[in-house]
Amino acid sequence: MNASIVQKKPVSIWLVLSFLVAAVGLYGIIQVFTHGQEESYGISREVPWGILIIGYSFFVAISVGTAIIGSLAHVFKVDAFHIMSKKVALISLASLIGAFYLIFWELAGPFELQALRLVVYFAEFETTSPIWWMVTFYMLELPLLALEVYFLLSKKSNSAFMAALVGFFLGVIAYGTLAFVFASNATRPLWHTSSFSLFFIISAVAAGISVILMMIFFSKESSNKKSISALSKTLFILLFIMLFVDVWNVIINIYGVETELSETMRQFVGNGVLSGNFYTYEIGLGLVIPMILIVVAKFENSFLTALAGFLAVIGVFFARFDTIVGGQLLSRPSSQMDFIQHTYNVSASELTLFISGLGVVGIVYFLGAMFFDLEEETH
Amino acid sequence: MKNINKKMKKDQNLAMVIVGDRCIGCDACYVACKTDWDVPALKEAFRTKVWEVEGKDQYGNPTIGFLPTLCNHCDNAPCVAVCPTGASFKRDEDGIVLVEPDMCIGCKACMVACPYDARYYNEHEQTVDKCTFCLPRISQGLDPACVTTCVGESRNFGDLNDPESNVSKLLKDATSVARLKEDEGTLPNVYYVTVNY
Amino acid sequence: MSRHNINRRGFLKLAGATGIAATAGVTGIPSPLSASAKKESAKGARFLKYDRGVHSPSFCEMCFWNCGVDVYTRDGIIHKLEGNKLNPNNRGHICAKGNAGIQSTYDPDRIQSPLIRTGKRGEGKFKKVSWDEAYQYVFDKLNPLVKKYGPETLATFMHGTGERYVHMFSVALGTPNITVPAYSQCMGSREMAWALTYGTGISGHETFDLANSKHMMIFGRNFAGAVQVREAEDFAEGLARGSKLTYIDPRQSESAVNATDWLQLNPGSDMALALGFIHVIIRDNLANMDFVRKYCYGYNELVEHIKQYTPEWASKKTGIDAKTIERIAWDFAKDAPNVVAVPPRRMTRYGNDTQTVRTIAILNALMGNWGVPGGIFIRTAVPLDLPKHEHPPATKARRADGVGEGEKYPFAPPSLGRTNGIYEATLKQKPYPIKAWLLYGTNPISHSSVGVNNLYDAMNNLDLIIAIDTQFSDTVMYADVVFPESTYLERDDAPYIQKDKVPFIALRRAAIKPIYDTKGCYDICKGIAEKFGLQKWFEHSPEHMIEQLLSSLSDEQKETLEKDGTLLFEDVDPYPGASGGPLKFATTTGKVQLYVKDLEEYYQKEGDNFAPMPTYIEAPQPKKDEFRMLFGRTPHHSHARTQNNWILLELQDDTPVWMSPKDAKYLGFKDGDMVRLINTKTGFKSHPEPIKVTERIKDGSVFIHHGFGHQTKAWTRGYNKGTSENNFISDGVDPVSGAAAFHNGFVKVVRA
Ligand SMILES: Nc1nc2c(c(=O)[nH]1)N[C@H]1C(S)=C(S)[C@@H](COP(=O)(O)OP(=O)(O)OC[C@H]3O[C@@H](n4cnc5c(=O)[nH]c(N)nc54)[C@H](O)[C@@H]3O)O[C@H]1N2
Ligand SMILES: Nc1nc2c(c(=O)[nH]1)N[C@H]1C(S)=C(S)[C@@H](COP(=O)(O)OP(=O)(O)OC[C@H]3O[C@@H](n4cnc5c(=O)[nH]c(N)nc54)[C@H](O)[C@@H]3O)O[C@H]1N2
Ligand code: SF4
Ligand code: SF4
Ligand code: SF4
Ligand code: SF4
Ligand code: SF4
Ligand SMILES: [Mo]
Repeated sequence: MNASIVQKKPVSIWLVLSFLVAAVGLYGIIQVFTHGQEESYGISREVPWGILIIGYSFFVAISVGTAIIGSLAHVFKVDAFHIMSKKVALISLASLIGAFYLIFWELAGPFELQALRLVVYFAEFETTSPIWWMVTFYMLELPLLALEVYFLLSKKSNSAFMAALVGFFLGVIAYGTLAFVFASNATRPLWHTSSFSLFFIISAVAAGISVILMMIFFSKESSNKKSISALSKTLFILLFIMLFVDVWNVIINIYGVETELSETMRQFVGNGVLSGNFYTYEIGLGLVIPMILIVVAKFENSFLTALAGFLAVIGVFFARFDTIVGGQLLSRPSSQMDFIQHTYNVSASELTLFISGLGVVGIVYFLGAMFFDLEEETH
Repeated sequence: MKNINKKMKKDQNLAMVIVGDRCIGCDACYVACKTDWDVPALKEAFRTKVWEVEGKDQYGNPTIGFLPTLCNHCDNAPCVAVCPTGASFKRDEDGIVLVEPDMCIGCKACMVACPYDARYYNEHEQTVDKCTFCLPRISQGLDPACVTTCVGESRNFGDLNDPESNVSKLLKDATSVARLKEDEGTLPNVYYVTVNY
Repeated sequence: MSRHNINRRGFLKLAGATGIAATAGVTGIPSPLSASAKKESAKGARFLKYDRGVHSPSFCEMCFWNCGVDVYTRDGIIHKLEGNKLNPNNRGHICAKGNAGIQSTYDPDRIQSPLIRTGKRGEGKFKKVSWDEAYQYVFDKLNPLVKKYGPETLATFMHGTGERYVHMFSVALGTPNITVPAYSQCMGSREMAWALTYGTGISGHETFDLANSKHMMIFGRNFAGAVQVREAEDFAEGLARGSKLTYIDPRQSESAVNATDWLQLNPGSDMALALGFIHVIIRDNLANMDFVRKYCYGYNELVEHIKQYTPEWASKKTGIDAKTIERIAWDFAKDAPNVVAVPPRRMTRYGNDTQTVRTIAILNALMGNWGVPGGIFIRTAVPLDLPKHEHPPATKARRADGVGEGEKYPFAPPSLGRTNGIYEATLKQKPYPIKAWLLYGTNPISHSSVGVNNLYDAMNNLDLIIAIDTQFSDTVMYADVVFPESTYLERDDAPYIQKDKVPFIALRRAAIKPIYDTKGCYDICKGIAEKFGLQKWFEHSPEHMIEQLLSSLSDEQKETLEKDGTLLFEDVDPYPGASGGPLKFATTTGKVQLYVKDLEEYYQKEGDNFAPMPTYIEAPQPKKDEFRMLFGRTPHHSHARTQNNWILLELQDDTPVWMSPKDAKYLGFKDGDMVRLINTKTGFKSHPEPIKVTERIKDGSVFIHHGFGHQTKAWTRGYNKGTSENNFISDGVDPVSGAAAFHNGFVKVVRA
């Protein structure tokens, strides 16, 4: 590797912390090795996708969100977004690796077979399978993100530009297919809507901006009013759109005839099983309070905007949780029967694995920070 | 490409025809299936399940009925469509939908896609598993395990392409025929009939 | 790292490392661990193979119905049980319990060797002993008791295929106190009533021709839920062929599926309902008078007697509207004689049980359905002359349970005895000391009213409790010496010879060698008998009896039986009534006794319970805020013997308390709330159970499934799952049959 981009710094406290957070996952790993998925995970035959898939989609959202902002900056020259591009690219890469880490634990089977299965995987073109497309795109996206980081670090700005451009499209397409993995399920009316992918993308960008706002607070850019203002304003608008869509989505679908969708929506309101999550975390903590904070911050206070970003990220996580879980909690054997309300309780193993995913993202990022020079020259 | 054409041409069209009101809810099928196929000792692990359906008649009096369920071996199987590896596939010759354990990566997309919750994650095999229409048994000329044991003689199995088969006859003589969630467009091969003998 | 090492078959997972996997090595059984997980290359190729394995014939022992079973064994491990297609008990099908029978063998919680108690009774501390030590122990303890009190101090209880050997030992020792719970805890009152009316019982394999019936009128007999396969098949078949179904039960059981009418009557009022039906039938001239004139005794008396029991009267007692009673009576009579009125099987309910079944018997007689398709079929014995084995002479000693001529229960059969009477005699040590129990395949603690009867106190009066069982039931935990019987899949048994619609013989051959240090009941009883010098009554082992049977068959029959496991004797006529053939009734009058002269004498002394013509007897009623404790079978379990079976536990591991919406509202309970039952007599409190609010149970009653609430910690899966109704039921007695009455127990329901 180009010597100029490699520079070793002392081990940061953040890296140590990341390792500690990642180590939490050992509990889940040991559980799943000794007892298997069935016993260790809270997922069930009716709710097969739980927090690991949710976590996957969450990390991927951060990855694509940050990547979009990054590319908006240097591909589309949105100047105000042009901030910490190396760090942004690196966090995007780290999040994607974190996402893959989580999906690894979600996948089942003896691990020595996974490699073999990967070959099988591409041997046939399973073109009807959204997951097949999604994985294919991500298989391409991951090296592109790595390349982009490399080019940025080695200051090959033209190549970085190209990588970012291709990465942008691939990322959006890959992310779109991820949304489609859910939306394609005709049996799941909550997901099977045209707005689903759009909402997915909007919240991803919001998550991306939020993460960048947090990173700004912790960097020497915390006085960069221009960027903070542009980012927080955009975040505000996105949060507002999400709030609007969320609320109307619920209202529209609950009114009118009794359908599976309206039944599903009922879980989010009144004393529905997900209403606590929905009101408190998704709407309150994740949308309303961040919007208030951003206003209070007058779009410039780096601490308050970072805090808003932090809460918004939590909000996006819960939004994912509510949608992905909520889409699976009702089922019935026949259309003549009442719905059966299932439950999904995150198990300790799943939770520790999810938490360790955060650690993995941290490890990748802070290792990068340790070995590479991520500070930008001012333009 | 896997076969998900709406009108499949199969040498045999294997189907289960369940005479609804002969089911007495004894769950013999559940146990026979679990034993024959070493389905793990877990409440959630099963290939067939009988629902006790409590309802009301036209006068508001309580009623009960039983609904045996299993994989429908759909002709338009969403589980097959979503499978990224080809582990879930539909046999061209008879329409049986299978999961090849060696190919399954356990992504559970098929479980999410199946409108009938017919699949489960098998901890022993470490793959997703479901009803095979007892292909191992029928390949040896035996009836499926659940059909063999069915106390109410509610379950019947055979080839719908053969007009002389018991299932064809049952469909012909049926006073009503239904399949589960037909509106999902899955084209199931498990039929629920009422018959006047 | 691979997770293959946790890849195990279902039962092995539960068998645990020390369980059968370990013994497999000892007995040379290859472990399926190595056989599994063999990967195939071609996609789906693995699904084209099926090794059915080695076949051996047997019959099921998961309940007392004894369906024919084909056992399939691969590499010395039983992998599948299937119904024997020829066996008339089940025609190729087996129920959930029957399918789960493999578990009874591969359950490491089984008793694995002879044991002698070391701790306190019930504590569950035993030491492993050799067979000889165990036999010697019995001799050392029992002989002094026999010397001191006489052989009648030993009471034996037996339920299951090995009964004959326990019986042999008991008779040889000289005790009269031999009991079979299937009488006084189960069918006693029903059989008594039928015998008084028709001269013969319904028998364990009931003679109702459901498959051909045009109208099944079922009084609280849950054919679909209390599954005995042939009957469940016939029930489903009858319905499919268009039979009407009048299902009578305060609870909407599984059998109410497709009922034309479900009559949710007041518990205990079946007799009133049947009397009402009879009233309408006689009033409106609907009886089958050909049959009545030809075969019935006491019709004129009945005509007079029944006048008082108008539909309006019946309606008051039953809560069923008078119009409905009339309509159904007409309907039922319209299809006569191809109709059948079915009494309950476990007829240990209200203390008026014999007379209730008498009424139902009369209802049948008025339809003239004896020996008619769709009515009551006639059984024929297997037409074989098998060598008679010599039996020890029976003692003339007085029984302790009040059974016998001149005793309190002169009608009860001494061959079956009153289990409940023995409990009482043991508790009171009257009429003479009962100091020892020998229990074979029966578990009184889970099968009688422990609450009021105080079975534990009774057992504390005993100096010796001997148990022959396969698992550590609550009662086995109280035993002093325990003999582990091999399970039905591990042992040969005497040929199964059944008098039936189509009489038949079935074989049971051991499919595998015993996994643990266990023996069949024959060997166990012989071992004990040897110590007493009684071995000469044990010349005929099961294997020997199979040999004897086979040698009395033609070559062709022999081949069929050995190959197919079942031999039918089809040249019989179960419907002599239809062919006009003369019908015979082994009653005192030689006729169907609408009026039972035999009861007259007792009627004078004892009153209505012994009325020669059924006279309504009201069951005790709950007080305000009390609920009647009802219970019944679940299709998922057999009695109290399968609640440690993992597959069946998956199907059901709890006992929700059923309560009507009206009662629940009154008490302020919602569906799913946790409640406790309190026995209003003893104050006993159940542990918390969820409440199931449903219109499927009559106001004023609660219902739970029977068989749960085991307190034996040796059951690693079944321990303390659900509640046992035994703590809440009554210890009544039907005065005629002497059988138990359980349904007059009352409870309060409180929030847990
Ligand atoms: N409270 C209450 N009491 C009841 C009833 C009720 O519903 N409620 N029902 C009544 C009726 S109808 C009946 S028939 C009786 C049944 O009463 P039981 O005969 O006592 O009942 P089970 O639980 O079937 O079997 C008793 C024992 O037999 C053992 N066993 C099983 N297989 C074998 C074997 O092959 N060999 C040996 N040696 N033992 C074996 C089991 O482990 C179990 O401990 O209960 C009666 N009592
Ligand atoms: N699955 C399974 N099947 C079994 C058994 C088993 O343990 N498990 N045991 C076998 C044996 S030994 C026996 S004896 C039989 C028992 O067979 P059944 O006698 O049919 O069984 P129960 O469940 O005791 O009672 C049947 C019904 O009687 C109802 N009942 C209660 N009180 C009244 C009343 O006052 N009037 C009327 N009309 N109905 C009332 C109950 O609600 C219940 O639904 O089952 C046999 N079959
Ligand atoms: S029932 Fe479900 S698992 Fe079976 S073929 Fe249809 S979609 Fe697939
Ligand atoms: S879990 Fe297995 S069978 Fe199901 S979709 Fe994924 S790879 Fe295919
Ligand atoms: S056909 Fe075979 S695999 Fe399918 S439910 Fe029946 S027994 Fe189970
Ligand atoms: S075995 Fe037959 S009758 Fe019994 S529950 Fe299953 S489908 Fe119904
Ligand atoms: S009814 Fe069920 S448990 Fe009883 S003998 Fe038959 S198969 Fe066995
Ligand atoms: Mo019984």
